[in-house]
Amino acid sequence: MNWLGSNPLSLAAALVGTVLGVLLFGQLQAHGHELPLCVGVCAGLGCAVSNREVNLMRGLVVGTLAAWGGAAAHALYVAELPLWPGVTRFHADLDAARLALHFVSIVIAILTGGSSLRPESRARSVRG
Amino acid sequence: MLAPFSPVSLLAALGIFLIADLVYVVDHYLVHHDTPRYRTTHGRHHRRYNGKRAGEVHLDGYELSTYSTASFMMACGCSVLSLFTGNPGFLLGAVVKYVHSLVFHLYQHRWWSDTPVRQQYLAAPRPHWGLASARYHAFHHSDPNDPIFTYSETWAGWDRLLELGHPWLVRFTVDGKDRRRANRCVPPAGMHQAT
Repeated sequence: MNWLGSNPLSLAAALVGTVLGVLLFGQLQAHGHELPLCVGVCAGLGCAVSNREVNLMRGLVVGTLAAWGGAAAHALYVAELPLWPGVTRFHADLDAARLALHFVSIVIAILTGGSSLRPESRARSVRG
Repeated sequence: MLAPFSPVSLLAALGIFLIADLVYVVDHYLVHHDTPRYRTTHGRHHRRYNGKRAGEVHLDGYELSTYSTASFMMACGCSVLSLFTGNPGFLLGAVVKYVHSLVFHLYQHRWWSDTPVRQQYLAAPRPHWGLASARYHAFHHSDPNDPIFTYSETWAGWDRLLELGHPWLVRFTVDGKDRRRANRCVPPAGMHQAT
C-alpha cells in the first residue's frame, strides 16, 4: 500500500514530532500562552528532517497527525481532561480564534511535512 | 461527540459516501478521456478483467493498494472533519465507502470467467436512474465507449447526468483538447499546404 508517499521512518518522525509538539504546547500553556501552532511545526519539521523527497501528499498525513495532536494537547493542558474524553469534547471548545490557530497549525504541518530539509532532496520530487 | 449511529451522524456518513462516489465517477470518466493516463493506469484494470480469468483471484495487489490509498487519503480528511465537528459520521462514511469499494468490486466483476467479456455479447443496458448492477458494469468493460455511459460504481444516475454534460465536459478532457488542437492544424478542404 502506498501511504501517500510516507515510509515507516517519516511516519515515525512525524509521530515523534507531534508528541514533542504536544509537550511543548503544555510548557507554553503553563506560562499562559496557548499556541497550537507548535504542534504543527514540530510534526512537520520532524517529518521534513527525515525525508529525502518532496511529496505534498505525505504532508496530508502529517497534517492529520497535527490536527489530532493539537486536539490531544488541548484536552490534556487546556481542558485538563483525560485524553480520549478531552479529544471527543474538543469540538465544543472551538471558538473562531482557536479554530483559526488549529487550522494554521494543520496547514504548516502539511507544507513542512511534505517538504524535505535534506540537501539531496532538491534533485528529487515525487508526486502522490 | 454525537453517537456514531445518530440520524445526524448517518446523514454525514451518507453525504461523504455520495461525494466519494461522485468523485470516483467523474475521475473514471476523465481517465477514459485521457489516453496516456488510461494506458498507464486504468487500462490495466480493463486488460485484466476483459481477458479470461484463468484461475486468477479478484483484487490483486495493485488494485488493493490503489483502493486502499484512495480510502486512506479520504479517511485522513474525514477524521479531521469529525474531530472538528464532533460528528463521527464523516469518518464512518469514509470507512464504509472503503469497505463498499472492495465488496462491490467483487460483486461487480462476478461475470469474470473463462469466457472473455466481449465474447459474452452483452446487450447495452437500458439507461436508468437506479443502482448499477454487475451486468451494467460488465457492459462498461465490453463497450466502454458506448453512448450509454456506464462509469458509475453505485448510482447509475451519475451516468445520466454525465451524458447530459458530456458535450460540454469533453472539451476540457485531455483527449478533447488534443482533438481540438489537431483540428486547428488541419487546413480547410480544397486548400493546399505550403511546401
